[in-house]
Amino acid sequence: MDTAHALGSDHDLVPPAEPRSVYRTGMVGLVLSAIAAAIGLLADAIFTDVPAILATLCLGLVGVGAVLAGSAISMRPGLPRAWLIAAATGFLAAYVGIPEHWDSGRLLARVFSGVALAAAILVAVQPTVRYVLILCGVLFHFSSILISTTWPDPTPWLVNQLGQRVYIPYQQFTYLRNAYHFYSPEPGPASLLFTLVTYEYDTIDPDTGKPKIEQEWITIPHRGTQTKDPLALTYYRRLSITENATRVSSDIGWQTEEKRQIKKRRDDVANPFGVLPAGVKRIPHPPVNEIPEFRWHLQPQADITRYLLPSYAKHIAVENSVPGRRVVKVKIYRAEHLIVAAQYFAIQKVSPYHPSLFRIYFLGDYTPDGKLIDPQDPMLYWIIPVTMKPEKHPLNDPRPEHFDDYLTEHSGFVFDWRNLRP
Amino acid sequence: MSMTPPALIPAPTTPNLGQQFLNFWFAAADPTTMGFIRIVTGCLILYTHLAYSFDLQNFFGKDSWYDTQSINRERREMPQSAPTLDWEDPTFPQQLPQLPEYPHRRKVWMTYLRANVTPETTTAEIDAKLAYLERLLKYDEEQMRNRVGEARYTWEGIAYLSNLSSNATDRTNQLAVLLDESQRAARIASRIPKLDIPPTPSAVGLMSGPDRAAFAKEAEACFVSLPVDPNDRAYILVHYSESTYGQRKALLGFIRGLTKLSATERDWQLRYIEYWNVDPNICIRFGSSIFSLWFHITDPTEMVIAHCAMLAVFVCFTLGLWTRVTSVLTWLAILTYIHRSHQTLFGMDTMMNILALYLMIGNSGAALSVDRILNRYRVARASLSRSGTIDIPTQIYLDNPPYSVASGFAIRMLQVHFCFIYMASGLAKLKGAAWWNTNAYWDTLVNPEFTMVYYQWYEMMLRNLVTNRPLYAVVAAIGVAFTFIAEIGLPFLVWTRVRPYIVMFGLLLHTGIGLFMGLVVFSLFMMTMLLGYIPGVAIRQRLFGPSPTTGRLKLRYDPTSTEQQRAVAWIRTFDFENRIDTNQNGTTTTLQVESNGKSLTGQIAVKELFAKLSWLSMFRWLLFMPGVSKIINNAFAGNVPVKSVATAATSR
Repeated sequence: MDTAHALGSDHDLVPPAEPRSVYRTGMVGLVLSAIAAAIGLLADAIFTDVPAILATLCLGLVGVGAVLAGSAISMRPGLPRAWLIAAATGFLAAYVGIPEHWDSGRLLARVFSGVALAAAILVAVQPTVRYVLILCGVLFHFSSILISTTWPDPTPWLVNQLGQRVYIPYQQFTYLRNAYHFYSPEPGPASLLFTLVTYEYDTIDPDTGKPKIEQEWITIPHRGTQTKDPLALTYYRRLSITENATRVSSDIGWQTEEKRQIKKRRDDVANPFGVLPAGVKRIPHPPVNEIPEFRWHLQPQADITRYLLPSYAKHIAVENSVPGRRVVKVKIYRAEHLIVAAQYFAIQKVSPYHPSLFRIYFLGDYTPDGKLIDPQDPMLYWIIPVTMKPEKHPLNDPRPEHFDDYLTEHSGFVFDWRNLRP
Repeated sequence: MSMTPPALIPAPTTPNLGQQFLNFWFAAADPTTMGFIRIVTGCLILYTHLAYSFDLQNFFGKDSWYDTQSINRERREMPQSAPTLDWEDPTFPQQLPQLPEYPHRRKVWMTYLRANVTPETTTAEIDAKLAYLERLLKYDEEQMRNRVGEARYTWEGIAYLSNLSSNATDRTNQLAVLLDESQRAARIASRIPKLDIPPTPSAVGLMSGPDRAAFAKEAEACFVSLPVDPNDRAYILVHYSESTYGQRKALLGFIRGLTKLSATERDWQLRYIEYWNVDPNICIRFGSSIFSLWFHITDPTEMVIAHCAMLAVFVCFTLGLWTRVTSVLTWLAILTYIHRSHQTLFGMDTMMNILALYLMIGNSGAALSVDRILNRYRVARASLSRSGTIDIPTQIYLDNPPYSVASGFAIRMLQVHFCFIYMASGLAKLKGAAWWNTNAYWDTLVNPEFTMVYYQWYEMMLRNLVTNRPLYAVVAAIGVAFTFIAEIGLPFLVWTRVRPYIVMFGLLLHTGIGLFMGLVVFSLFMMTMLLGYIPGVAIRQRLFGPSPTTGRLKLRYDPTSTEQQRAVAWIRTFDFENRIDTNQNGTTTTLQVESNGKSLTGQIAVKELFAKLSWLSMFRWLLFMPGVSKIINNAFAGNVPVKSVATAATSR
């Protein structure tokens, strides 16, 4: 038999930590957690609102207590009692030690406590039983991953049931919910956000006698201005932010009353003889032969319109407001950047950044606190056409006079398409 | 020395299936693989989180892209429901109550609900208001059950209701026609201009006299409960009529259920359906099981302090210092960032999390770590104290880190998980036409937001490629085939003798993804996962090489001297390539290093050690740092009083 393996570990060569010192370390952690729990109970009894200093103290004690309990385990993981001490430390933290408003900390402590308790059992039982129990855990873990990978549509009924009823809490906690369907079924175009930010200055514009107003286009993400690290993680994270706003509702067609009104409002804007609401400019529908009609109006999914876009708008307002200049309105457009097909790239020499490769959808005007100003805006969630003029122009030369730029028309502020290429 | 991992259970000559299975998962393995993965992953984790430093407020602050208020509400309240466990009746599909998705319409609905279900509202009152709709629903249900034509009773009833007059007198005249159709002409002429009386719903034709009277009363009660403003009233009625049978039934049930709740509970349910548009009663749980410091810490200064603390943990983890504790803290810290801002995540974060999870399970600090260095010292010191020399077990320990079941288990988990990732990714691609006609290759190569197409030279290169269509077609086909062979082939081939080749295949695939698709960090993480298939011995040989037979050093020391024992222990600790022989020499009063036939002591000996031991030689510059050089000399030279090289150099 190989001597190296007979030795097993350094514990055979240097005496392992004495159980007493392991328990002592763990107990210090437990006592700290218990002190935090006592403070928490007293504070709850005395104060209606627990003072911040006491809450911080409790959190500090619990944090140090947990690290000490964990350190005790690391000194000698084979002692069940060390695990039990850690479980008790977590238990106290989860139910009393951690202030109530730190609810996610309490969740973490509950998990910590549960894992420590399970480990105590694993360490205490016979090796064969231990391995069988661990294999049950392995089975649970990989069945959870299998469920994640089969979750995307069409989801099997069994996967849906097991996922919702059993696995989701585990998958959420461990962040193991990815289906790993990268670039599938097909690679698609990415989306950007074009935001037109309106600023109001503290200074007065002498021409109007009112506060000075300015506008600025901010493209998210922009490789040139928003890449802050060499491997462009900062850029890709922003790309992920914009991609999250692209999911659209599957509810298409004009069957409902509101949908019919949405279509009528848009048709009025497109129709040369339609009634235009005040301040609205006439914008035609895009040519059907270039963009199919079912792509003209893309209603984002409910969670996007309800929480995400308002939050984005609010963030843009906060990020771009500085002393003396505040954001008063944020206009958001989604720009789907189509991938130029190989034959156009080869024959017509189309530039990958040509404006006609962008499908622009209006996502609304927002107040600085993220409120959608007009949910019945006639152009809301409609495509804003950016199309080539009928005359022949070289497609690798996107000069403004070569195409109809209704983005500029709709927003009322010139969009510089040349800026898109970093 | 054999590197074959030991079997978990003393096995017979041919282990049975169960033993093979147990050995698959629990065979002890060389922890060097996990140690190496830890270093690479640690560096990548550190980089990833250092990059967060630029965007701490943008991604995790109070007013970040997804603000704290929204994420807190989401993690506490997000509805989680499951479909029914039984077959759904296709005639009466179970559906959920839903309010209109359009904000202006939902607002009207919420006003309607709050006006009609007040704390004082009794069940009888709400029943009276909804009786008209309930009755129509029952007629629809009957018709659906009998499968006779289209169930349009509710639709007609709503159309009737929406045409009733707001004027109470006129409405009385309109409703009177429900009781007796023959009165229609008289009622129309009851005022000038003539009263518009809507067509009687066909359901009335199925009713007896008393039922008609009740129906008219119910219509009046329902109408009165509706908003006064005609537009608002239309929003309520249109939404109800556009709902399906199941949705109508569920909606009425929800409204009626509100009256049975306490005021607080009712308010909460109304607020819930207003925000989430989901009936909370059908949820099996609320919110998500996630945690993050950033849910609770929003003060910018406190955030920076917490961020720095987590960076410090990552540094310790990367170095392998207190790894058992810091690996757990690292995983939790990673999740702290991930759970707070899922809008900013992409595949890279998934891979980072997987690696950190398995590095925590396996004892990733058992090799290539500060922990291992400290243990080497302790073991060498214990051996010297015990026997005055480096005994054979200690020598074996110093040569290789001991095999560990935890490492073997974690590596196996990583390997199997990686197969899941590749298989899912490969099979999912088979659904896409673009992968079959090879257009997918082009789409990944030229996507402007990911690739380098923003560089003119890259664009030119692609233009040159597509100029020759047959050439392009061959390249695209090879690219797609390469992807499929790697992704679908690896999960099978990696367990066979072609493992080195398929792993190389995977590494090449990710090099391509990193270079041409721009996903550099993602690719680096994937390549790091592939390291899990490389045996520890191969990594150690690349890092330290075989034990040299020439140019070896000899240590002569007094085994009874504590200082010399300590020095020998430190020297052997850093002798990673096993270049030093230790010889006791009871007569020597100083620690001697023999090199090339010369016997060296003191700082000269230390200099020689730093010159000959390849890993120490990288740190020779430390010998020129005042203070540090003295500490090193004291540690490595035993009891010889030495003047540091730095001081000596200065004095010269």
